[in-house]
Amino acid sequence: MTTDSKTKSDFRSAVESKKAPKAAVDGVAGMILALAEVSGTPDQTFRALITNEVEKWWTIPGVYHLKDWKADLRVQGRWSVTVELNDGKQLNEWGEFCELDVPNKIVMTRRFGANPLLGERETTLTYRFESSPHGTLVTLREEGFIGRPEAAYGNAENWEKVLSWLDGYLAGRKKEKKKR
Amino acid sequence: MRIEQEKNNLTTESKTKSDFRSAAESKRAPKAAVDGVAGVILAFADVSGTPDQVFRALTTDEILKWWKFPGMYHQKDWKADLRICGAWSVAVQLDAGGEVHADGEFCEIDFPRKLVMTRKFDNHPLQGNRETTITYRFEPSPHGTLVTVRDEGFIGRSQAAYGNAEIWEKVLGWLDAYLERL
Repeated sequence: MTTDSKTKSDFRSAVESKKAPKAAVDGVAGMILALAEVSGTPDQTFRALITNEVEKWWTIPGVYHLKDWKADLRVQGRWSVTVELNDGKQLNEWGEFCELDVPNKIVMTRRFGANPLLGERETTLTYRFESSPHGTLVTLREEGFIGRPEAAYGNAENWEKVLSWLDGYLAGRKKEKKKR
Repeated sequence: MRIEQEKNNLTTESKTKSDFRSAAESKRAPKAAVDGVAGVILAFADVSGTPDQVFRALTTDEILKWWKFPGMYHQKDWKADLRICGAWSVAVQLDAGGEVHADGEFCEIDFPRKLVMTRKFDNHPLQGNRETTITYRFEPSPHGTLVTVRDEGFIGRSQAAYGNAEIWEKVLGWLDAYLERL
């Protein structure tokens, strides 16, 4: 209450502080909706998600990291990446780009080689990037989980982490730039 | 520092998750996310109580007991004609003085699984008179009931959606606390 009243002009308004990553699931519709404000411009955010920059930040310490990012950046172009687990096992992710609107929107499909919850199911990710007072508002829809709600609930938790790592990475770059 | 935090998170999660791709098995706290362009809020939470109890808490005058924002508002005069195309209304008494009203109609009533209803406010600074459509789904879960809420109709009024999303998280928290006390 006290905190809210410092940052909100009306109880029906959203707080003006940076939006932390949040992901919600509609299990019946098979959809995840997530959003977060991240540091950096829409352009920087866009590039961090579709170039090999992704290998620098999309990692769970102690669990996995990404390597061998490949992307043919055009509509119907393919992308793939290897997920290296800490026990040495490797999994693959791949898909294709459906829409690339730099720096506003990315639509891409995604499949996993060995996901215990998602099987071979392909999902479609739609990212939107909008300039915001704290950098970039990232909105993400992931669709295609109908009949596999447990995969959606698991992925939603991962999306909150991913958006937080992305923010940490972009914030770090911003600090580095200031130092120079 | 961040690595330490991640390690702590992992330690906690390893107690409750069988695989890093699975959701935690603990009770789901209220979460709401917004697609500002599509004008949609999606929210969910595990709440205490059965789907039946949750359904009634949202559609009868029980709502007056728990849907209140301490220091901001409480509700009164709930009225509901609980059938398809039936009207509902409630008065929202602001603690700062004044009263606003919310009303709408029921579109689908599938007790105790699903409820679809419209809603509009008579004096909302961000939403104007725009009507939105709320779809609730209630599914039994190990912690009581998994409630999923979609609130749609905010196209062109994204700030109302971001504000409402924060309120939905609170509402689901109040609902859980109320049902836990029953």
